[in-house]
Amino acid sequence: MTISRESGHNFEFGNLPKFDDLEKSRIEGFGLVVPRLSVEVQDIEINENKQNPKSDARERFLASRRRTGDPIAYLNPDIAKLYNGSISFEPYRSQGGKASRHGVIFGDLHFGQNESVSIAIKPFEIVDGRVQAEREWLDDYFGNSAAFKLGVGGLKPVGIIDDADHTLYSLTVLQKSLDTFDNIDWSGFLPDFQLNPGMAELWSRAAHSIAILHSLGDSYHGDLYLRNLATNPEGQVFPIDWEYGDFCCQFIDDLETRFTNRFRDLKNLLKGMASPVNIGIESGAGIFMNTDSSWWQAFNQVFYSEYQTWRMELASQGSHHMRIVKSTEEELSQLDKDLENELDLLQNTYMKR
Amino acid sequence: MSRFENFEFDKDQSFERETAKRFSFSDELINRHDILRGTEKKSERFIEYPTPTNFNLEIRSNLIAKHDILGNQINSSDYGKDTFKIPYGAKPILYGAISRTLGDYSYGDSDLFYDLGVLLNNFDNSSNSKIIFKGLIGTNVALVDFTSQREKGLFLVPGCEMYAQDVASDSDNLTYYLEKLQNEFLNRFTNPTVKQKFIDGYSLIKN
Repeated sequence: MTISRESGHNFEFGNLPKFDDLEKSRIEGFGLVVPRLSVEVQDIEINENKQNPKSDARERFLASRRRTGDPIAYLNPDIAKLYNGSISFEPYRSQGGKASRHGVIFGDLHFGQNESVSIAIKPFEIVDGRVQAEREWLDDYFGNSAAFKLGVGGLKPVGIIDDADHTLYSLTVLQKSLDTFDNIDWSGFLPDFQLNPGMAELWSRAAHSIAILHSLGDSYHGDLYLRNLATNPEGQVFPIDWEYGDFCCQFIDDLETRFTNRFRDLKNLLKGMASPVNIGIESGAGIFMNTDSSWWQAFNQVFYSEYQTWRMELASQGSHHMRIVKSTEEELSQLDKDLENELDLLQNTYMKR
Repeated sequence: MSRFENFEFDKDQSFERETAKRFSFSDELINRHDILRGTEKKSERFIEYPTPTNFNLEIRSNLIAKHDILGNQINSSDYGKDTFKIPYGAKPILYGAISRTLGDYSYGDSDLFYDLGVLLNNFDNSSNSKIIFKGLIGTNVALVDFTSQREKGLFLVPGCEMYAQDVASDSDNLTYYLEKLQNEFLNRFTNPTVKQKFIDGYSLIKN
């Protein structure tokens, strides 16, 4: 069995040779940066009236900031006001959040003795020059900020840290009560989903949340795997981790553009639902593995029919609803065909094994 | 969240509702309820169930003294009912996916099942006579994620004491639990290393 994404090594779980604890390296690296930080206020706000609020905020930040070569934390105003000259970091141990591409770490940021904030820290290592890492870093931060402000998901932004030529960090408030869909054992969910009302409710709410996002102009998530769908004790479901997402709050007439972004989101979701459980970054939930009948039928029952219903309902609201309803119908018609083909392919692939 | 919330209610209005199933410790058999109370701006989580009898009460007291019980008991205004305030994000271990992560800052199944072994050993020895836990382990053990390295992350849920049963002093509880865990956790407990970790924990062999 292959395990331990953090190590980058493959080995049998029964025997435990020495391995490199990359997570520990990242935590220790961050711990060394924090005491050397100077703090500035990050006051670039998302302008939701812009056609592309994420890109707009990113460009305004790049135009306004000054680099000194020393590590700087640009913190949101309500976090920056806690800073009194002293800042330290205490890491957490965790079970969740291990499937992230970037190796997210967690802990408390302490501002002196009395104030602290629990945070999730996503590192962006500068490997092949700064430009690429900087773009990903700011896309992550402002993508999340835009999602949070627009109310389609995301976590409360804390700020960003620029450690010169080493690592860039994007910080959000850590909601300790969140759980992600990849942390749930879905093996008993199908075929009798009616016997699992709690699980069925999660997928129903996921359909609602994703339909809301896809009804917001030409907005999309870009990385809609199960590790990026979160739920909480209130039963809410919303996407997190918006590095690859974008928001275009105005309606786009071009069917191909709208279709491409929606299809990518739903295809990634399908892949996550259908792929078998493995240990690795692309591990799936294997939701359909116990289904004798068509996986497409099962997908419709637990998610897609409800997604379509919400898309049509949301399209019928607003002042230009006739045009948007027609465009949405065209888009859903195309999605139907291509998603069914995609799922049939996955069913053939995985059921042959 | 703004206009696109999943719930439509006034942020300042107080509410009381059952915790979502993924997180819930509600159990009809022992009349235990897992409830969220407060407003959307600030809500808290409680477990409530009928006050135990002397036998079960003694077990719970001993487990609380060992810091094995989730949360803290608070004064309840309802006679005959006990209330515990619990961490907001605590969740039952039953519904969790396999977790094989390793490392100083990870809490994978290896660590979890070791700690579970310790908890069940403490449970079996929390009365004057030997007892065994006869309930569903997966919904009576809580994981509290994102803890500092010195904090515990695994607890018994208030009300677990209601599933205590007397057994003979030579009862082989370990074999019983191994079979029970295999039935409850299936593939998650199949791995021989995870199984051995549980045995080590139950046998109080240092991790």
